[in-house]
Amino acid sequence: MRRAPGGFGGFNEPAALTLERVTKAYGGLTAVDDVSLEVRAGEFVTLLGPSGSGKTTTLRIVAGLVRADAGRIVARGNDITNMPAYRRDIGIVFQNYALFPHMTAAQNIAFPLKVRGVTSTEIDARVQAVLHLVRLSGLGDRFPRQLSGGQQQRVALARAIVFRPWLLLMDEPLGALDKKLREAMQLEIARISREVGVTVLYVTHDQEEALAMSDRIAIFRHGRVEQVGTGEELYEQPASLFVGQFMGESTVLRGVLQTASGDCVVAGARWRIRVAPEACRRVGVRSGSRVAVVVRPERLRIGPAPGRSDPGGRFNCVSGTVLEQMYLGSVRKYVIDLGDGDQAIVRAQVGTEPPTAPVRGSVQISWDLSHGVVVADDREVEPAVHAQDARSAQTEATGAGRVVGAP
Amino acid sequence: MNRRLLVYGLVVPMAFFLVAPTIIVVIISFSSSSILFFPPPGYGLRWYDQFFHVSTWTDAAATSLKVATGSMLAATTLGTVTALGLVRGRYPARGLVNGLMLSPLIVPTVIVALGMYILYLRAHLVGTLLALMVAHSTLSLPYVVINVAAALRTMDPTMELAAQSLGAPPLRTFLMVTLPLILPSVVAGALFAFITSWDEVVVSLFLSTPFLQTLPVVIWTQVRSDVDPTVAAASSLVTGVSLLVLLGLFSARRRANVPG
Repeated sequence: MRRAPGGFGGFNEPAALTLERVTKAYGGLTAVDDVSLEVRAGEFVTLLGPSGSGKTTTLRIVAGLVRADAGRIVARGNDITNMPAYRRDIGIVFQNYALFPHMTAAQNIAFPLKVRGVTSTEIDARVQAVLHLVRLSGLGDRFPRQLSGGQQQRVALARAIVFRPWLLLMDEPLGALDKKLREAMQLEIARISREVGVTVLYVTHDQEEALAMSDRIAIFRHGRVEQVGTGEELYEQPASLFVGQFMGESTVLRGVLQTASGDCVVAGARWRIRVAPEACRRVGVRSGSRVAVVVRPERLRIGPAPGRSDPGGRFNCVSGTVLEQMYLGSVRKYVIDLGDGDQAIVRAQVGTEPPTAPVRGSVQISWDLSHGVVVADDREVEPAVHAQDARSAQTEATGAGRVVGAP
Repeated sequence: MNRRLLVYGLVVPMAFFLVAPTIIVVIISFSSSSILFFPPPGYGLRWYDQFFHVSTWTDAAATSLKVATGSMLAATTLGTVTALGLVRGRYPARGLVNGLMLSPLIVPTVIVALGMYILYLRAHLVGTLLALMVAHSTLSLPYVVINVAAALRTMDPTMELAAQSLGAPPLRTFLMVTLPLILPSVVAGALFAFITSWDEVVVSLFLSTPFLQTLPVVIWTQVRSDVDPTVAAASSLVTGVSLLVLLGLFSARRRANVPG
């Protein structure tokens, strides 16, 4: 993660980009539903969500390539809602790069300068400089089809920043690359955007990519912004079950909230667990309502609550049966059946793992109650089966999401 | 075995029937005899010599070239713009416009020719180069529209979005990005337009006068009056030019299929 210098304290300066209640429908389908978002100058903000959640449409509305039905786009204090795309000075990197096949890499990069009437000597100098920046010096004479996917990606990036846009939009720019190259390009994009100092709005469905690159992330679902925050905030304090399951793996325990005399308890069919009182106050769920408790796999440990070292009763403990265990290199992952469809996922550092947790064996798992996050139980969100790929499971999930604004 | 039977039993005779008349005409054009007769008793170039030395023929050839070139330019320009409007435009009755655009392909040529004749007669245009150019460009417009529209539909739409986002206004986007990408199809449409005009007889007959005739019209009238193998030489030349244009068309097509 990177932070813009002084970016977060400066509340007096206007946001670089503001989306105000932007809505867009195609036919009867609402692609973007009342989205509001602020991006500060120099910030790297990612729109993250499953496919079809409205991120790309939102990006295109910002670019001026799609016209919003309602709402405003404000750039550095100026309303640009009705400004044509070619006057916005916004750079875009498209998912398929959209390089002009009849132009060389250098001609592609020179295009935005040429249409702006920059002199040819300056165009040459700037093209060479940006080719150097994206580490493609010497390849300017190649046509796009003569370049590899990663090189085409760099040309697209160079073309989008060479005219010094105030905002850089990137639409799943790494989607077509293989995993190794994708990780290398993540670092490259982060480095280049930092060197140029440009504000970035980035779209991806890959939560790891979002975590690795972003200052802040906006989680999209069904055209709405579900939650905005830093990666850490979204991971540690998800505001909804959807966010909890979309951002990484999680154990979800569904039950009924019972609050009495300052104590917060969630009761399931086979267990009762305690949660921190501030955790249930935060989301504003009432006693008696159905809730889900989200606990991250790293926060769970196999074994009973440490009785002697837990005098204040800070730990929850439930029992279950080991369904699967997987050796993943630095960690070992356990999937544990808690009965009634609840499953726990535990990630234990290899070396600190418990001596015996055989498959089909019965175990106890425990966690500090402050690590349980209470969210409203959205019945329509299916638990991610084995949480192997929470993403694909979430794509299927339907239903209305709650809107949680920026913190 | 079956395939071989099909080739020799059906395809070869069919190809023969299609090509034979043309080949016979070409052979007769090299005849040394002064009557239109097959097979010729001897061979020579006298009828080609005749063709280039009789003003009826050379005038007609010049007229045909002018009309074909003029109508090609008009049809290509209008057809490209029309295709752009049909594919990229968003307006009501787009389907109707599309249908009207293709109507010259569907309406019998004689009917079109008669209509044009009546219309141009009122406008005092019959017997002018302009009339022939306008009429032929109408006939060939659909070919340009079909070719260019297909290219626009298969073109990656993000190309134009990228150009816009990089600061190019619509006209700039068209000239610098769209046109170069669809150029092979525009060229193919232009060549189609040229051929359409070059060998057009029906409409030309209606709009011709004894003072202004295209090559196919002169061939037609000559065959009906004095039968002399110059007609065969003229026909062979018309065919030859069409063949050359067709070769150009194939190479344009091939380039259109090569991914950029």
